[in-house]
Amino acid sequence: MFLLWIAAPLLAVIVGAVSEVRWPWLVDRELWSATLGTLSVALTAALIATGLALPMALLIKDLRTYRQARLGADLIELSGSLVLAMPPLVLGAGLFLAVRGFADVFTVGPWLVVAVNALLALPFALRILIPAVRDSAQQTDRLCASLGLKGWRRLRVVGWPLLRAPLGLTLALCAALSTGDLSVIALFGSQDFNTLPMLIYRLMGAYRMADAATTAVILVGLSLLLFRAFERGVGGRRA
Amino acid sequence: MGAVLSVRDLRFSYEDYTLEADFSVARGECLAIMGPSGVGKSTLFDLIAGFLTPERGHIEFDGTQLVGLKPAERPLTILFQDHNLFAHLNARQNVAIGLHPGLKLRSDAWSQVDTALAAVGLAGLERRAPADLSGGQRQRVAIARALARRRPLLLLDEPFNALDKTLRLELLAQVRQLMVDHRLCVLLATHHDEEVATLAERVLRLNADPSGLARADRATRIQHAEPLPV
Repeated sequence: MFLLWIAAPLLAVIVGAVSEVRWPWLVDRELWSATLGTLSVALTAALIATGLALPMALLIKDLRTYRQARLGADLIELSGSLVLAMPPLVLGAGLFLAVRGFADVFTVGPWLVVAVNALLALPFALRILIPAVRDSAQQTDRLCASLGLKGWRRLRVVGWPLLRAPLGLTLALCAALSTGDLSVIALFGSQDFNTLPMLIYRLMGAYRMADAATTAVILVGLSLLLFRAFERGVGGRRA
Repeated sequence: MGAVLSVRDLRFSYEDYTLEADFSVARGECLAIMGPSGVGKSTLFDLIAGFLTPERGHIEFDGTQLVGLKPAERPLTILFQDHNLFAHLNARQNVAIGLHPGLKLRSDAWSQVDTALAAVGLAGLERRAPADLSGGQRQRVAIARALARRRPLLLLDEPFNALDKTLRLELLAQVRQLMVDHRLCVLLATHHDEEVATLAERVLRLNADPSGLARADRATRIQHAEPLPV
């Protein structure tokens, strides 16, 4: 039943794309510039979200070791998750208004899209990395201290081997999340900067259903590709 | 026989829990620390190993003050109840990391690693990951690391608790052999009388003080060691 929910639309899109594909669309500049836009947003947002979540998780782990500092740890965790309670469009609109006063919105647009997407992915990144960092610390902190493993060497010999799998998953998930986002791009997208979800929206608005289906298949493919690339490339998972 | 490990007037508090300790152990001797779980055996070991800092008191080994030194700088190896091994390293690497934290060993050091593994009966299993070893074999790897590190003080924080009695006593007999061969000073936390009988010369009882207001203070005083009945 649940599978049907995912399979039915996916199947419809694939059938639509395969049966009615318009070859000129596949080489259209608009399609590939949107693909490139999606790819850059997803990669940058995933790197930023993970780059923020990892030090936050490490800090939270350290603070929780001391009972007096647990409130601080909770506050950091909450701050990372607060965005869950906020509609992305509100976040985007706020940024739009804030930035409008002193910068050209369409020049900084791509960066705002990246920033909002990173912020939206942050709670999920934290959900993966906080327990991963905590568990690896529980298993190795005392052993490392007693054997004199610290700093860069500890990172190389113990930290990276134990954390690369959750890091790969975090990057994969954040990238996949950002790939499909259609919220802030609606505010900041332009002729020069577009993403695939925005393009699909516009194509459907123009009743170009076959092109929309083809674009959707490319979007799904890109999302899967990014997910697997991160999970295997960084996480080191075997197929 | 002069004391080699000397714990004097040691005091540690955490919230409403207080631990006080005063005892000494000679070279080549094993002192068992007994007491109900939660009484502070591990806390005492953490203080000696350097994971916790005492409020006051001295911990001296061979005339050197240990308080203030980092865990890795202290002349000791500690075996925990669990998590003694890195799950992503094989048995050989897990021993080797005790000799060089970056795993950069010269060839004679690697043969030292293999000798230590053979000494605990793990020859042939050097390349196994911890997940592919039994519970007893995993703790043997940890003993092999302690052996290879050649630190004169060995802290055993109930490392064999998860094993059955036969295996436990077998491993303790192995530790006893190392202790005699290398004149190690051993502290054994346990609540099994037969473990004490296998390894220890003296036993130190750690008891929570029943007097005082409820939850006001859980002071735990270690009395001077009493001789083990022969």
